[in-house]
Amino acid sequence: MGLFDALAAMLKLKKEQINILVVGLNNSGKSTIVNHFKNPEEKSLVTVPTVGFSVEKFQNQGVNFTAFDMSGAGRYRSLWEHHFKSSQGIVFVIDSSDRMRLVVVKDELDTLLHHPDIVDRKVPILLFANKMDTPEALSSVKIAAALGLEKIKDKPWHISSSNALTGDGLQDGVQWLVQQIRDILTASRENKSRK
Amino acid sequence: MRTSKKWLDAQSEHKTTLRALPSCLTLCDLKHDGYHQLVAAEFPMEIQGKSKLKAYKGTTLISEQSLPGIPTAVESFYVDEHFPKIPVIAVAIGSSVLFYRNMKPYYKYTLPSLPINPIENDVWQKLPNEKPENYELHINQLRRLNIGELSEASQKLVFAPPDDIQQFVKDIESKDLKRFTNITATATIRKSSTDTNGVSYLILATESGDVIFLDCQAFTVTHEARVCAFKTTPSLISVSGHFDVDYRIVIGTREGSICILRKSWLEGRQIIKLDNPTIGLSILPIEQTIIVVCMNKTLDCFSKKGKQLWSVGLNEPATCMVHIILTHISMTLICVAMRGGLVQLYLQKHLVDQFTVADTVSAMAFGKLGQEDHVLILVTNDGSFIVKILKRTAEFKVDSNYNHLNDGTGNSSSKLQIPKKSKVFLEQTIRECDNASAIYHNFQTELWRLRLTAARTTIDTINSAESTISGDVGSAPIKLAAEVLGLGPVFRIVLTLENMAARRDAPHINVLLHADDQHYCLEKPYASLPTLVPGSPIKIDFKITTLLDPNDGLPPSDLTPENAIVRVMLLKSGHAKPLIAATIAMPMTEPLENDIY
Repeated sequence: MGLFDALAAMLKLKKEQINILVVGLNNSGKSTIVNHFKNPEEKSLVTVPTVGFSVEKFQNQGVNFTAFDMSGAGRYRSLWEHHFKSSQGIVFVIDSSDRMRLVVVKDELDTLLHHPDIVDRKVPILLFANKMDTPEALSSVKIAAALGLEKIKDKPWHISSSNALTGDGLQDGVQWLVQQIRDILTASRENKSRK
Repeated sequence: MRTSKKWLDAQSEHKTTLRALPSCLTLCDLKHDGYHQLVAAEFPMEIQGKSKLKAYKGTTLISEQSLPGIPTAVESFYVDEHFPKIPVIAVAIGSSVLFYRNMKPYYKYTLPSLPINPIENDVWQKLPNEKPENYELHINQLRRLNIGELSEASQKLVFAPPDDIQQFVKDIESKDLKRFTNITATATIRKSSTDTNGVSYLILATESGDVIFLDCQAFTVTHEARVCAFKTTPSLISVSGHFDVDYRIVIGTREGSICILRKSWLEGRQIIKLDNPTIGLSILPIEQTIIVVCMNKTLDCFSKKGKQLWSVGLNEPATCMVHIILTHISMTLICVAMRGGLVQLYLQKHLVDQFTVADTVSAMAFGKLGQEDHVLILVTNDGSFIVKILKRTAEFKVDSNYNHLNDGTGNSSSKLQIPKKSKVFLEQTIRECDNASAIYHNFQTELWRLRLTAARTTIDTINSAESTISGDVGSAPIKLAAEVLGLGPVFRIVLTLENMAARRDAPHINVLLHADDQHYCLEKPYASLPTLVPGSPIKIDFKITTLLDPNDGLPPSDLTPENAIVRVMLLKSGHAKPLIAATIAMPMTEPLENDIY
């Protein structure tokens, strides 16, 4: 593949929408992360707990993102699964300072991975070990071990430590996610053209 | 080792040594940051050790401070509506309550002094002026009194070694005599708000049997009541309702009685007397039933009036109990921890879940911890501290397998609804016992008489054929219905005849109407009918005119409602006896007013 092809592929992607789903427990920083990617004039200064979900659009890496920022409160978590089908990538935000609820995170992640709309698809999963600046924060390696991420074999996943307030680590993760979605799209296009 | 899939085991630190009693755990939003913390008053390991008040964020200890005595209970509640809402921690120690805010002590409330025995007062007034030789005389006077009703100073004096008495009397004389009771149980009651962080009052139950409602903003007693009419020592307390609206306080005592105290009562009422000491007591806020766990391995449920609703046997002696309110699935569960580490959850009398932990659980608390709403905290005898989080998707269904286990242990029998025995019923029972044979004979005689009367009437009816259905054996039964149309003097009688047999025809039927010819005139009193086929009723009508006096237009004077009748006879050709002989009561004729026309 030459340079021109790559450029063409990028141009194609530009027209395409990428739907991502942002999930995680309440108070893990989902809305803050989404807020960070928005245009400076659209940014909200105060983040309040999301009710239900909110749809945010932003551009990054030359891609138009539509992010479904879900509420993480216990009673709204049942809404997550309704968006699994339409999303091309999942962003799972974890509060790395909340050691006690790591089991809840694991439980929710396992439920997500075993959902019929996810289990057979190759959906890239990006995990943000957020709030890395707090003194009691666990490292991303420890979180990956605690969540048993090494057991996920059929889906690409990536964990990166982040600080949504300053934006540290966010760009890194999104770059990986865009690359993964691009690869999957190219692969599916090649499959189609072969047929 | 049983585990349950409904609970997630949060990272538990087995090194955390926390020794606490069920009443010494409380969960609250200590810093108003939405992150609920556990506050526990720990009792010391050895007698010289210091008790401690500890606060945990998640499972990590964030604050620890020494307490001046052994804690009885810890409560957390809000005393005012000021923002930010910081809860107050109340620790009951001996006869006083220590209040903490932001984990810093800020007030100490001591119970009012109890009355001093006059003899004791008298002795203490004389003692300082007495010669040391006469001390023994006065002390003996004190010894005659009940030791439990003496003030602390007198108790010490009674048991002081003879050499120290003189010094002891000198030390005491300047101080006032005071007798304090101990706080045995505490609870909180919200004033009027249904909000979880509404202003609450502190309820203190004392060893002397008093219940004190304390307003912790001004530290004034808002209400005071006795636990019961007789002397009891409260040990457990459970509250439902609001102080300003209506409330019920259920108090378990060391003597085994359960008392209820309602709004504006000055004295509680004993509703249940149990034979075994109670481990846990709770009045459920929605069901309004009282759940009691006893030492005899039973879990009982009582109504507010003290009626036992159900009872479940437990496999092991219980160590503590907590009720779990799950609003998202509208359920109230009872969680019982047993010796050996088994923890069972009951939905009413049905076992819905169980799991085991490494050691016997000594204290439990359920509520918000950290950001999580449904957290069960278990503290075991060996000091480990286990946090279980209820899964979001957990459901509690009554499983027949579990209840199967329960049946083995036995007395879970449902009681039949039997009405109360009235006085009349009791008198009747006595009469029946005394004159059994006479009553039986009377009854039999009357029964035979009734049967005879019934048989006679039946025969009469058949013989006279006075019925609307012909009852002759051997021919098709025929049903007759009659209606009278008109106001008079001209009427029309419509007869409906129906063959009621399944398939037999009824041929050669004739109808004859018979009336007193002084009163009525029948144009055509006789009709011969076609064969009656089953299933198709036929109608036939007759014209009947009341004979009127030509002079005044009135019906005959001897025509009364009693004799205004027309007989209908259904005859079968060749039979002398009519099939049906019915009478039709005729309505009275309206007087014909000539003027109208």
